[in-house]
Amino acid sequence: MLKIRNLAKTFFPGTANEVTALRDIDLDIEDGCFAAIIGTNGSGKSTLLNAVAGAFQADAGSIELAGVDITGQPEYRRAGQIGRVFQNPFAGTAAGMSIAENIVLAMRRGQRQGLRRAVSRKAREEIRARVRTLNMGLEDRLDNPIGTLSGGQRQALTLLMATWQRPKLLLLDEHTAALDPKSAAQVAALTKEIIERENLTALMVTHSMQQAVQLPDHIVMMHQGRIIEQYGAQRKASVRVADLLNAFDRVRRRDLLDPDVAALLARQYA
Amino acid sequence: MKISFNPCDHFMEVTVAGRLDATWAEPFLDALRNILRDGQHHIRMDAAALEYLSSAGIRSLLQIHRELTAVDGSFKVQRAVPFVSEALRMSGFGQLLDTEETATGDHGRPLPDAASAQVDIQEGMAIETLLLSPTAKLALRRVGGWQPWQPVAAGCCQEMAFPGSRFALGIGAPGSETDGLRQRLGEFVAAAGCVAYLPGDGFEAPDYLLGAQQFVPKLGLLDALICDGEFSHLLRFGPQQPGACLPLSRLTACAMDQLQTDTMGFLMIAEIDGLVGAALSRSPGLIEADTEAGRFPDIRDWLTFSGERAHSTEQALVVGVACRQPDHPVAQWLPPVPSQAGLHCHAHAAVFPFSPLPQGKIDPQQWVRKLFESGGPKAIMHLLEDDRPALGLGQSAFVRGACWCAALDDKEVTEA
Repeated sequence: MLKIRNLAKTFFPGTANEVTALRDIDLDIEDGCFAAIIGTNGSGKSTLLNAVAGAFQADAGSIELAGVDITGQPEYRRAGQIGRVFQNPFAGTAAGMSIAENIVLAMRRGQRQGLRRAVSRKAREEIRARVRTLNMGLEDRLDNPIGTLSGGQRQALTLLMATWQRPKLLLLDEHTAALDPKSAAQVAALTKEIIERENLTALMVTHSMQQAVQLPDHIVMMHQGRIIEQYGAQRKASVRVADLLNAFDRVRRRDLLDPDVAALLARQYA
Repeated sequence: MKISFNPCDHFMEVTVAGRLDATWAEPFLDALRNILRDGQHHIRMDAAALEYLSSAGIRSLLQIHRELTAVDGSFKVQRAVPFVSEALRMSGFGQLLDTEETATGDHGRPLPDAASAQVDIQEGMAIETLLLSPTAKLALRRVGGWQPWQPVAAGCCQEMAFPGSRFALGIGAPGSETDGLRQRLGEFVAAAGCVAYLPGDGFEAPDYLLGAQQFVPKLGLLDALICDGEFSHLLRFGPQQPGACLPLSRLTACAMDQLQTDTMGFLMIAEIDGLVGAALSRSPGLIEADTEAGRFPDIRDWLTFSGERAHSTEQALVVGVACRQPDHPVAQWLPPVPSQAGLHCHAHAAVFPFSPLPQGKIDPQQWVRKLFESGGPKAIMHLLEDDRPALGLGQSAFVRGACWCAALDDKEVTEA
């Protein structure tokens, strides 16, 4: 279970560029729950993911993963239990290495690396079997450099690599945003399939309301560094894309309701 | 396919050349729907240069024919080449052909224009006044009389039924206080035995009640203006110049001039140019003694503001009461309209998907019900004029529509 309490982060404090990116974030993600974070630009979605991954230390609050307080752990230590897929399909893989070599790196994550044959026969068979589950025909191209693959194929492999060791938490940061619509749909479906099959706990940032409605079990809506709405269980089951868009519109209109508008409305409702 | 338009006296001539097949059927239908939206309900299609008509093309012809006849309009295919006329006849749709046998000679009634004695042209808008029951007047009742933003006392919501002859606006919700009415109070509009209301639960998902057979919608009312009686006049309005529209205050002023009165109730169905308004986002039934709901910033938790001229090109059902005599008792119940000295107007709008109205005299009962039957309201708003300097959005305005109205009977103005 991921448990976040009173998490806060301000960048460039005390300067003209001061930005309060996270304010009093309280969030519980149960084991096996797939949650999506949605929000406007600058709402703190990716910052929250980065805070969980340990990309920076939060100013206040705590992060607990599977009963362990990881708030003070550096990013490299958290990486042993957190899988990540980034927006850029070229970010999570080494372009010059083959598919099999890239996957071997993911297989040995967190283990001591020594001088031995990179891709053993046994490893190759396991890789072939699991790559076959992607249904992209890549199992016959394991020795091809990964840089020769399309963005969608590469992102699918990155997803497979990030989940190879069944992480305690999978973080997906707009991982389909840079793909063409067809590949994005393919990777999104694959994401749901892998998360369900492996019963993973996952946190996905997305700008796609369609994905937010279709893929996860839980939706977290952020605005100006705060969680403003959550759709879990029953509410999530009935939510539609239009409901999410309306919720964003309500937030936008709430921001527009300044003291002058308040005075105008007070005259009407007098 | 090439399509061109030639406005004639009482109809629009559409010349179509090339192939009307699956590729072009939808664009063709969209083009003809735009003519319908622009208020022209009689279309003649010149098919002399139409080379080919597929089943998809025939379907689009039938669709526009159906939509035009629904608003008392007409659609005919003229000068069709043998292949096209044969395709229509063989498919059983020969009635679409404008031949000697099928010609009705009916090219529709004229559009309102300056030549008609009943038509008033104001700032690019034609306003046609039609008499219904010239001596009819409306009884107005104010119910509830909630004082914003005071806590709602137990038992102060009054139940009211809304039969077809009654129209109303205000704050209310279905149900009784024992089943959570206080948690759901929000703006409503009632007309023709239909009620659209916005539950004050923060989700801004309008709901509606549609009277049918023995069922008459009922609401518990916190504060409402209720009009009973017949309409005396119908105002039909539409643009004479591209981009023209009619602001709500000008419409009410024009209607009161026609009615020769200073107080009136009105019901309107109109295409929206832009709505400016607000709505309760939280039920006033939840206000407690120490709540400062009417003040900034707490007001953000209780009201939402449109923030822009909203719902352009959609259809509004507007119910309102207006008064231009500031010392009249009714004026005390209505918020002022800043741009019109002395004018007070309280109006609520329910927003629906656009659907065209027939021209001329139409029955409010029938067309209000059609709006509700088309899928229910998308939004409900208390209309207001935003007169903030520089940033103000102005007031709600409408492109074309029908406004039924009547003067209030001063002897029948009551408060309960």
